Amino acid sequence: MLLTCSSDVSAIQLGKQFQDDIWFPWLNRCEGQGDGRLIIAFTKASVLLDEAQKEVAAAEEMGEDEYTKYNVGGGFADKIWANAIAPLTVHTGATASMITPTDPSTWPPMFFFESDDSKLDVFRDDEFRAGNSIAIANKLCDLLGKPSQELEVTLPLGQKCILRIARDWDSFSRAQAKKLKPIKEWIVRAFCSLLCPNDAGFRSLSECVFNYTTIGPVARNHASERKQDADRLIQTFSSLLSQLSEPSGKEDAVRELINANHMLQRFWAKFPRGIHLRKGECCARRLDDADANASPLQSDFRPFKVADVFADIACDTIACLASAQMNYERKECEELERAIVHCLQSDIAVKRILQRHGNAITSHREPLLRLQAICLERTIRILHYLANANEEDLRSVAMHCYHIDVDEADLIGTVVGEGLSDFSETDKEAVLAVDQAFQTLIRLIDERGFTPVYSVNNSETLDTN
Amino acid sequence: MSINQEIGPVEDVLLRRQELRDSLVKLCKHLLERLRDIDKVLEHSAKQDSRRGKHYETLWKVRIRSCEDRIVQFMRRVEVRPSICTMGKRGQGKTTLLHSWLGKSKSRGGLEEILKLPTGDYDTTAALIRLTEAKKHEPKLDPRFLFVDLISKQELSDVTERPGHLAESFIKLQKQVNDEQVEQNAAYRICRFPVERYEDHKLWLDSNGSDGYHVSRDGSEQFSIAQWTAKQVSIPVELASEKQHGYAAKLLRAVDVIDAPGADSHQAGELPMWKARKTLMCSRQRFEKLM
Repeated sequence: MLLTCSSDVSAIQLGKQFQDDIWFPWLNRCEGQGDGRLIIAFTKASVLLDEAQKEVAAAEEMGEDEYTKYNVGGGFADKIWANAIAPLTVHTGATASMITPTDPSTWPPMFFFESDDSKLDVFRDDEFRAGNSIAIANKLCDLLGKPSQELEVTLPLGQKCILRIARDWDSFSRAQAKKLKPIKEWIVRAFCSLLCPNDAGFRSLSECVFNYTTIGPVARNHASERKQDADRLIQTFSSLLSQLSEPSGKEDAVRELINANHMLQRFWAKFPRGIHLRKGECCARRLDDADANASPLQSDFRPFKVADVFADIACDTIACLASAQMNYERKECEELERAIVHCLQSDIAVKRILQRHGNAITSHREPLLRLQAICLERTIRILHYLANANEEDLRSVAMHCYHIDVDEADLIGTVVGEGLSDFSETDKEAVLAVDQAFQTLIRLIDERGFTPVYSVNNSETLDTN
Repeated sequence: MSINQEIGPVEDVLLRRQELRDSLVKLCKHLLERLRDIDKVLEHSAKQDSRRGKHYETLWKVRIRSCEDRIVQFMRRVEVRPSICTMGKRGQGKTTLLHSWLGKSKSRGGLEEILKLPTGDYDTTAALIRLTEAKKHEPKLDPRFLFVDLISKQELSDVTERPGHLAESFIKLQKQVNDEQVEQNAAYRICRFPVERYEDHKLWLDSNGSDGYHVSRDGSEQFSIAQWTAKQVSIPVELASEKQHGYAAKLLRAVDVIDAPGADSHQAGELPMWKARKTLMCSRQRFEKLM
């Protein structure tokens, strides 16, 4: 973000609307990761130089000490801080602030521009006109750390003004002086760059943006965000594949029901009047358990669950069928048992009894007796239904009693059958290519060694000719 | 990083960045192909049984489309290079700054095209204006056109006083004007709201078929409607040497530059509510489009 704000005192303030509409959404977008995501461009910078000119004149007339005594606060530093930087330190609470007030190293790089170049002429001396702005900046930065000297009186107007603007940060109390040094130097260099006629501040801005976006934090964030998005996308795709290949249990359920259907059809063929179902040993033992659980003696406690009651009914049913001198395989008996349990668990009448008696079933004979009776009654109907069920009926049983959507299982089964539901080798190759490209780019960015803008050891080597 | 630090050639970094982009595009295309294969099998299976068909239509088709949408959206994001966007209140000199920075000047070179961006009126910039490097072989970066995303009928639906709409949500607008009666830079007026004194309402969009629209005195669509509803204008610019194109030559090879509407647009002039809401929408959308 290149935040543009006028240096003019009437317009410099960013304001609440800016905070609400732009800044807070931007903070959310950046998730508190601020480095490189903000640059401030102060336009109409001649206004600042004009003010500095007045201050320089007043200080020379009154003497520096006297002038300082009567001019406390309200200078350039306070102006930039209060109107442009302080509003950016505010955050909503939901996200961290990008800028720490007391740590200038987190402040955004600042640049100064003037659209009316003629307004800068008065501040340009021959050195600036010759394009020596780097040398001037170095000289002024040297002077920054020293008390005002006689030399400064002989400086050309523009250089005096720049020094005045930078030195104003000496009285800024919100951050340690040591931490403000890079800010002061930056401001000196930014104004020197502005007063260089061939540069007008744009070379520095261009280099700053270019560095940020090619080897700096913007480049890193750009690549990382895309990699994270790609990872999320792959996760979404994998999750879709998992849903497709998730074992539905459909084959087991349908096989179980078909076998039960065949077994019962054989029985009905021999005994057309159906089965005479009665409680057997399993149900009787469970009643004893309930009696024991009714006893106050903890040592007699024989815990069981409702599911065990259904299993008892199924077990006694198989025993009844077996007593009819039919040859049943053990496997098909087990499958019928499971089918009966599934059907009983979903039976409305059974559910109502369970609702009415609750936990009493496992500790009192009467409610258990009632449950067993209703289960037996329902089992007779279940067996009859299963024996006469066609394929459609069995699908319906699978859906309602096994909670398996056979139609959906059939639908996605075709994808599984085609081998499309696995995370394939070509999928892995595409993901690997992204991983490798990302790692290579990040390694290269790291190798170029970007340093933050307000690092303490800035050194200038370039001329802005 | 010092203020004037020049970091030297970064071609290797830009090349690797391009490789990452290519690998991401390849991944997206691969995933889309995989989804299409899965969808084909499901659709075929669905046609064979009406109950499966119901499941397909209500569940799996939706899931697959949603996954495809996410991939397509991501692909669009992948295409976007790192961007720098101007931001600030009205009248703070955002567009003027871009003119001075990247526009043509005697001392620094620069792009003549930047100077065609309107400045000087209230709420001058009415959409996100993206300056990007042109690439002749990429249709969406063809330097002959401005690529304009338009607000659809569904967007800002709660604003009652609103302009009309073009049938499309995206148009290609020829930069070059062939009509002698129309000012040469008229196409760039798409970047701002209509201004009466420039007689924008007398301009029309004339369709050139697959070659998009051009601005003319006659046409099928009112140009001012496109001005009212433009939300992003992409301007691919051809870059030459730094000597000729100044800072823009180096910068736009690595990064897109976006000019944005003022952050404090107020309800004024014609369709005031629309103006304010559209500006706010563009402000918000910039965050999705940035970086």
